[in-house]
Amino acid sequence: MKPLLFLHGITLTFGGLSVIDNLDIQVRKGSRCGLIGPNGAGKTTIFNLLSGVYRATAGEILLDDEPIDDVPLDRRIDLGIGRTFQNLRLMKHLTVLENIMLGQHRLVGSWARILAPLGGRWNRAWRDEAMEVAETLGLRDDVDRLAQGLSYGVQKRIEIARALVGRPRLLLLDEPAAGLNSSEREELVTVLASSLPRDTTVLIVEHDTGFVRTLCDHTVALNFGRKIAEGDPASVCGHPLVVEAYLGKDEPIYRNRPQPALSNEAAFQRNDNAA
Amino acid sequence: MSGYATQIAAILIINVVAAYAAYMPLACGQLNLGIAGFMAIGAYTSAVLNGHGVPLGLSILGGACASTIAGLAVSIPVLRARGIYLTIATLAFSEVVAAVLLNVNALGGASGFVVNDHMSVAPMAAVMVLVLAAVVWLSSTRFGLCMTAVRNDGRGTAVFGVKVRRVEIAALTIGAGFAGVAGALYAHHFNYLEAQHFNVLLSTYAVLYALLGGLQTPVGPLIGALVFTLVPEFLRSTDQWRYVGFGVCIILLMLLRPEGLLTRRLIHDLPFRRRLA
Repeated sequence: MKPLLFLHGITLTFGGLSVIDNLDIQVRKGSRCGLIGPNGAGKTTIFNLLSGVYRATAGEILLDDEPIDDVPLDRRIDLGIGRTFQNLRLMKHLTVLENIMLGQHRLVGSWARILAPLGGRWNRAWRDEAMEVAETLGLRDDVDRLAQGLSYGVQKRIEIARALVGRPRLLLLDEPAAGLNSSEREELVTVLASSLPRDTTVLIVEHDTGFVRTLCDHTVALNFGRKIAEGDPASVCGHPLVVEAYLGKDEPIYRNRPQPALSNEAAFQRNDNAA
Repeated sequence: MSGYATQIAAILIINVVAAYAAYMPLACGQLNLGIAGFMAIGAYTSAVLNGHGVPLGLSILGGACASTIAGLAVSIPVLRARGIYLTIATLAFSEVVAAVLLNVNALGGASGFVVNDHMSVAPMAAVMVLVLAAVVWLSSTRFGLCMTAVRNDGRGTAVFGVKVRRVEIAALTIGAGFAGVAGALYAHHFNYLEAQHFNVLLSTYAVLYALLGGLQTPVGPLIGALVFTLVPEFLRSTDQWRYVGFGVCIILLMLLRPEGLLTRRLIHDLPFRRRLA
């Protein structure tokens, strides 16, 4: 199938530091693609490139064959790119429903609608849609509560709901399971599997390989800004380079390392025995 | 109502409107110390129009329009600056306005300017209610949602397609319009204007009312202006100690209610709160 997203020869440097190095990634339309790699691999940087926070030093990003490199941050959402953040960026002084409705902003359009009361007739359809998404993500009972002070798991789901109501073509989920306990994580996998629309292409950054295996049909592994493996999640997660990137490898110097020197006490004991 | 009570009520109304002038940009995270400058533009425009035979209501509207246009003209270049630099730029604008008014003889210069028509407290209160209604309405819309979001996280808000700069410009411009209304009310109640009145202290107090009342709800600045206009009057019997008492009140409030007197959390904890959905 035709790729929705094509990162072609992407390089990003900060001063002398190369963060992404000549990277090629293709994401098919409607697929669930996992992006894995150890800390500092460049996963979130790719999200920041896609959402317009950073601009690539070299290479180009194509969305549905259209280059998007020159599109500024606040116009990327108009292209149908929605995202969540690794470090939650909820509006703490807004309620859960208001936070979710903020995600509809690009669809609302006209100033007349922007200046219509949120609780009024003009916004009823938008409110109902936000409520529907909130319900799908298990947030029905929290919609009236302020985002500030809610549990981390709930806040993560609000971010996902806020991204989903924007009806994105490409949804970027940045470590959705990070910081969750195992039961919250399992719950989130179930909720995501059932709530992600089939026509939405999803790119997921995640450390939890189990999470990626369950949700994704394709996986790309990165290390130091380079692609080290690509394919189906099971084979990528077991790929020797991926295992090495996460866990390291045995160094020969340690295998042939000399025996540690005897302690003073042991040396005395040996001398005594010899005597 | 006694003469003293009438004057206090008039000052209170002007302070409430000025507090909303400060509240609008503050709701987007912008500290505007040019409130006094916009008030002066509104006051002098309304006074001049009235002096040329324009009816009182239209003169006040004219004053509000003039300060709104000034607000738009100033906000576009000024909002390129951020944080403390933005505040300094607005303060500088206010000082320029005061200096110009002080040196224009047609506007009375340092001698002051006499205003024709008088406005009593009742219609002033009606204007204040209109301003309050406008702010409550704006806060209940997506625009209000965007203002809060910009204050919480401007860059994060842009990701959802919100034109952050436009929201900031709109908020500062609307605030400037409210300041013009406050200035016009001042002009027509006291019937005398002098440029020295529109100084940085006036802007500081307007900001103080909004901040201490709380930025999370549109009612916060009203509460702030009410409390901090009336507290010094209640403390009047303590003579010169009233300023000490006023200062202590502010410090206590900052310690006990750092997010302002009225917060959304406080409203949400009320049993009879209104549900959005």
